[in-house]
Amino acid sequence: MALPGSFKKKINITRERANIEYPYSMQSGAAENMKDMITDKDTFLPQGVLHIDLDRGFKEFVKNNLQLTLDGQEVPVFMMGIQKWNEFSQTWKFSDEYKNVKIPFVNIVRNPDTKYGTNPSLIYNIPTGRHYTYAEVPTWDGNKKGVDIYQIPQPIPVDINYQVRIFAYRQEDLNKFNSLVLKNFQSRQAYTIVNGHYIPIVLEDTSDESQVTDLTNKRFYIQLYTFNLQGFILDPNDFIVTPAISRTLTITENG
Amino acid sequence: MERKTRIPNTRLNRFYDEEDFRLELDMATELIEGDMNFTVVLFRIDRVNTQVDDVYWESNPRDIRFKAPVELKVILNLANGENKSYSPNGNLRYQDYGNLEFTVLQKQLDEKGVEIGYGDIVGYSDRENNFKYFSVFDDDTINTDNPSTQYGYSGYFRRIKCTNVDPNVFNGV
Repeated sequence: MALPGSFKKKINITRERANIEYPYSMQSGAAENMKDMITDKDTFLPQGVLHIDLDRGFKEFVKNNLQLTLDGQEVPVFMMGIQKWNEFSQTWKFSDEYKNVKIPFVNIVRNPDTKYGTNPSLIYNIPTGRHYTYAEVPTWDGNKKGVDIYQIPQPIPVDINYQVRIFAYRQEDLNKFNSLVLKNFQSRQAYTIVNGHYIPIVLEDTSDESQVTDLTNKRFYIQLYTFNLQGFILDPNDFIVTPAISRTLTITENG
Repeated sequence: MERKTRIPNTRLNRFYDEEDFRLELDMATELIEGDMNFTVVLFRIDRVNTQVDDVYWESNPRDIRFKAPVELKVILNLANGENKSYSPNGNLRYQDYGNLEFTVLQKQLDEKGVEIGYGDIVGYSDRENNFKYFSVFDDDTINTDNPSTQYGYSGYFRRIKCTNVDPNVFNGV
């Protein structure tokens, strides 16, 4: 009989949820629902969360929750990297004949640095980055019934800061956007869902960068909102699936 | 489609008109394309077929698609190269190309049916065995300012400004 390897390279992706045993803390109510969300459309493991997933989650949050509509038109939301040519790819629908994007619009700038997280539920970790059992999945190879142990590491907390600016010609437009922001953040934080995980976003600061004092230039309002996304990194490459012990042979010697 | 009102150009009409303008344009063409003969190659990024990610809209060089390259005859000026260091303590010195600025007649762009856009790539062969790429950061779309016109009659050239681009961003053909 061949001995199982320490790591299992191929896992069963067919769902047989009824037989799965999750740790006790995940077996009731809301936790059960959340577990279903983060394992939806995937293996029995949770969906991973990487930097790009958090950025996508924030962008979706702004597009869905802070969507401003003026005169029946949705105000466009832009988020882009530093490659010059791709600007027009995003803005062409909202540009004038000189290819300038037309005001009003909302722009998201992600601060490139990612800091170690401050989310209180994540920062106090057991050191050494050990893995924890996430699920025990029954297996059957035709002869022998066994169990696979699914393990995941402790997620790494991260803080990502975003600057969201609204550009507008009218104070009334700023007011509408401001009330959208305040409604979403009246309880200090709002949530975006990233791959099934609830990720909190905190409104850090509001400031004004309007170009209204220079009478010799085009005048328009710019209002800046600074957000802090308190997420975590959960790299799917760090997940481990190992076969559990399926049979134990005990030998005793009698003298 | 928005219909635009056309307003006849009657500026300077006592001593300058469309015929004079075309004559001077022909002379400028002869100077640029005949006498000077500096060539750059314009790579217009195909923004529809280029593969980008859905968050940052970034792409790798191999995923960038561009339309058929077009040769342009221009008057160009290649600025002094940079001599800097990557590290704040002066280590990892690098020297790179300076900015490329060139003037191209609008008539030439119209004849070839091309438009230069922000972020498009321009290639220039500064040596026989070298082809350096630059990225357009000022496409001079509004070229009716006084220096770009002949006596204020009509804009006739574009002054394009480019900065050098790393092969890791665009490596051409």
